Amino acid sequence: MKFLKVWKPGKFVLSALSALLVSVSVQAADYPTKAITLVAPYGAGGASDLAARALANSAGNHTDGQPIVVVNKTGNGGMNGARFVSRAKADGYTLLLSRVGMALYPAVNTESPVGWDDYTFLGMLEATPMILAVNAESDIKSMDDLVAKIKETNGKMTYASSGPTAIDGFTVQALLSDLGLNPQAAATLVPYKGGSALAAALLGGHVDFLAIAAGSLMPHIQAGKMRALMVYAPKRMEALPDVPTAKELNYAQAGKVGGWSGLYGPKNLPAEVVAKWKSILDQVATDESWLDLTKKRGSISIINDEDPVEFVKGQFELYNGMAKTFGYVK
Amino acid sequence: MWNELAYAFDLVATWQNALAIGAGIWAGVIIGAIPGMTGTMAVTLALPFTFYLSPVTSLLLLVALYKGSTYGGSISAILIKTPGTASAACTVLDGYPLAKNGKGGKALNMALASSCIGDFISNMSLFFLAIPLAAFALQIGPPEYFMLMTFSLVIVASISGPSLVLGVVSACLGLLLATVGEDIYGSYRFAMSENMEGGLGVVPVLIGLFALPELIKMIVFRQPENTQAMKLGDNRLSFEEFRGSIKSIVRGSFIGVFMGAIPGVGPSTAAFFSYSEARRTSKNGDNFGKGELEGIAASESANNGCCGATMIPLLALGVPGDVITGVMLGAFMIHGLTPGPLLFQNNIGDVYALFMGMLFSSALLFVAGRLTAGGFAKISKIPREVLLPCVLALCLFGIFSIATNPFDITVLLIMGLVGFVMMVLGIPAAPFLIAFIIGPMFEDNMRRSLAISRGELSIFFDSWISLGFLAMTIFFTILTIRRELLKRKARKRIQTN
Amino acid sequence: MRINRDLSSGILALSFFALVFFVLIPLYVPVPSFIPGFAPPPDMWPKTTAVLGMAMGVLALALAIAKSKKPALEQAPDADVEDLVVTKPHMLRLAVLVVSFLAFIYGMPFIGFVPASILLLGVLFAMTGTYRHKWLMVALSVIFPLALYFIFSQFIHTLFPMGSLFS
Repeated sequence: MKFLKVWKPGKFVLSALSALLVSVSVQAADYPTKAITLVAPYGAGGASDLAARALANSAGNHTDGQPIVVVNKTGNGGMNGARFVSRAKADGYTLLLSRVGMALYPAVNTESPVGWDDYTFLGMLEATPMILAVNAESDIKSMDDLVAKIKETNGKMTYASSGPTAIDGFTVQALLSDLGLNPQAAATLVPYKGGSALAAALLGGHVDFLAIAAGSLMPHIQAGKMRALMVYAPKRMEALPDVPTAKELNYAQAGKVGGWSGLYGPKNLPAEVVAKWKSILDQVATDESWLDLTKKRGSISIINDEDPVEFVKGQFELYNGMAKTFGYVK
Repeated sequence: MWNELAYAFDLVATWQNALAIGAGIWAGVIIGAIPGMTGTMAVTLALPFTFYLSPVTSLLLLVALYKGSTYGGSISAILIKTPGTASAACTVLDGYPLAKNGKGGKALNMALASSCIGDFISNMSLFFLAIPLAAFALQIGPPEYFMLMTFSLVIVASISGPSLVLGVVSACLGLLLATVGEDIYGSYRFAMSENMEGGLGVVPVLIGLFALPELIKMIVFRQPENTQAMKLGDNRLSFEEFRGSIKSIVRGSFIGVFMGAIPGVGPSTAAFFSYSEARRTSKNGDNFGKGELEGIAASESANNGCCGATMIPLLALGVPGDVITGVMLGAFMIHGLTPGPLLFQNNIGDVYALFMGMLFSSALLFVAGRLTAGGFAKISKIPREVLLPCVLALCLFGIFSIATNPFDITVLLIMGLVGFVMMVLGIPAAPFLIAFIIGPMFEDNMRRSLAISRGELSIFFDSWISLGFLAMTIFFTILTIRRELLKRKARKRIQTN
Repeated sequence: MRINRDLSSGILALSFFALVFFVLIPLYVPVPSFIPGFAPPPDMWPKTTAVLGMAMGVLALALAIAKSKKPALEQAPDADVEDLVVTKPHMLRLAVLVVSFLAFIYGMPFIGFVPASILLLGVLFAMTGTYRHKWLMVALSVIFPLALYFIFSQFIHTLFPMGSLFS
């Protein structure tokens, strides 16, 4: 017994010391040889967190027995997590579950701590459609009704969003701009924090419309409490076959707006790591549980569909262009 | 109906569920008791496990963790003046003085009893009042919200302690620090460094303000009586003491239910509100803040009274009111369930099963609390010069792990020094904290309302809910002023005699 | 030195809120043009609280001066606020604490989270001035942070900075 008492803290010390002192020397060739940290830059239970956990769950089967650990590193519009990963050691053991915010933030902030391309792009993961919706009791039945009402009321229509430079603010502003209206004055933005607060504002009839991530709206649309008018996605959503996309309605900028997730690493990742992740993602792309979890969250898996560099660059330029015309950056 | 209940009972009465609830409560209590580790963290950590569990089991696990951690926060609040979660901040005000006087065990038992009663009442409200409360909560728009926050600020103004002026100074400081970071429009305020763009976290500010000054005071002043271990005195809660607080417990529970049902208000506001109300109405009102069991009863019943009620907007509307219910929404979605009206139509069996499991968890909370509180109470035996530095080390690790951001540690240490200066100058810390938590809700909803009305102030008086809150605000202000005047008169009479 | 609490609180509050109002808000609270005119700008609320804080500072000063003119007898209701005497050793110890906190904040990225915690804990124990449990303190300052490191990195996978000096 006495022996145990002395020995127990000793064991703690030993294991902790070894963890501390053993310097990490990794041959990239047999990557991975230890647990991989996947940073989710937004809060628990949110889109980035769920996507990260779904990816960790599926990709973890193809990492030679090494676990993928999801860590939430939140704050500052996701930039805390992004900065952490972009400045981490480029050994492939610290990766980022990126969201549209990683391209949007540098596009609308001249002093962004991380540029849109300060990473190695390992691949795109999923597209998360966004939906423009009104309360089911509203007399607005279609996009035509909405556009007419916006023009008629001269700025009095209100919409909820996380802020003018947030993705769910750009959804509406892009639309207004496509209509040839003043994106800031043609409708009044009412700022809220978080997808569920936004949904609640529309549900309670406190605002007239909104255009936010599908995941936060689908339950209410299915329950008949909200009416979807338009979808921001490459193609119509399976669950909403009658709702047109922004592209179909010929909205040039709004047609390109949408949410997505990608997998990034720090800049200059070794070629072996990039190759390994290419093969892992190939396997994830057909993984049952990945596809199932993606669908349940209202997203569409786009692994291997897009060239990540081209895609992210396009997104950055889209938002940067809009930010310039709308006057958010010079 | 009976068929569904029987089906639900079959669904819930499995050893997996019992295990999930038991483990969840237990882990929750311990995690909640560790400063810096919050219920949100507990729920997040458990989320990956829910991939592999049945929907009912995984939700019960999350609920159990939430309840356990809400109670657990009171343990460290009472014993080491470190509120494990923000909602336990009010428990510190009376819990720590009690522990210092050797009544730590008594305080813990009172916290447990009132938590369990609050929890039970909250569950019952969830079963019977979910639909009407949810409908009401939906009516609370920005102007109503603003009025509710005004009402809360007026009520909690009474916690300011002996000097109202210094109380307001403290509140102003809290209001100001809460504005650091991004505002609702995405514009930065006081972003003097990259880190400050993200704002100051509630937990580091809270723990810095409450726990650290105690350590700094011990080191700077080295008062001999401070270096002695706290006495462990009578730990049992007598029936008389319990009966004396029952009114505050029941009222606190309903305040918790009401505040919990409105998305975004949360347990901290409820606890402060209930505490202030108890202080205003109790015959022991003057003893509040000096070690009054009724104060613990009021704050703990309210924060646990929120637990079940926060599920109301989630289940009935599909709108999570805080981060924890946000994680639960994620768990629902992973299992292909969509909370909201459809859940009650399509999966009523699961809902009943969830309700039954939650009732069971109220009982289990009491057992788990009884078993752990005794062990924790021994902490008071540790000499303060050993205990307090260790508390700081614990806070450093716990707070760092919230967002793995070293800036949180900077905030913690600086707020500790600020809290120490405030302590030396006799500026109370509680108004700071309330202002820090309520201030943003107050400001955001004012700006939101004025954006909707395009600058028209009349929006604040448009609905009967706003007017109701306004009437209550005026009524309680008059009551408070009258009471103060009477007190002053009585004091003068004593002095002249 | 005996500290007059009301007077120093008043001075401190007044100067802090004045600094915020006249220096920090103009410098660090920009008002972007994209926020529509009818919605209150970002600086409205900080300005309001700063003004209220300044007013309270002035009020505290006035009360303190009024109180100092009154005979001591009438101050009885405030008796539960104890008088504080601050001496030189007190100030010195506070200064050492501030320095060690700063050392932790700025040194931690270099030497790593765990070593920095060990050092800070050691300093704090040493400064309590009571050494009845000397050896326990020495042991704890090493073992406790290591144990915490072990628990947090094992169970919730926190990534603690290892220190740039060692990697």
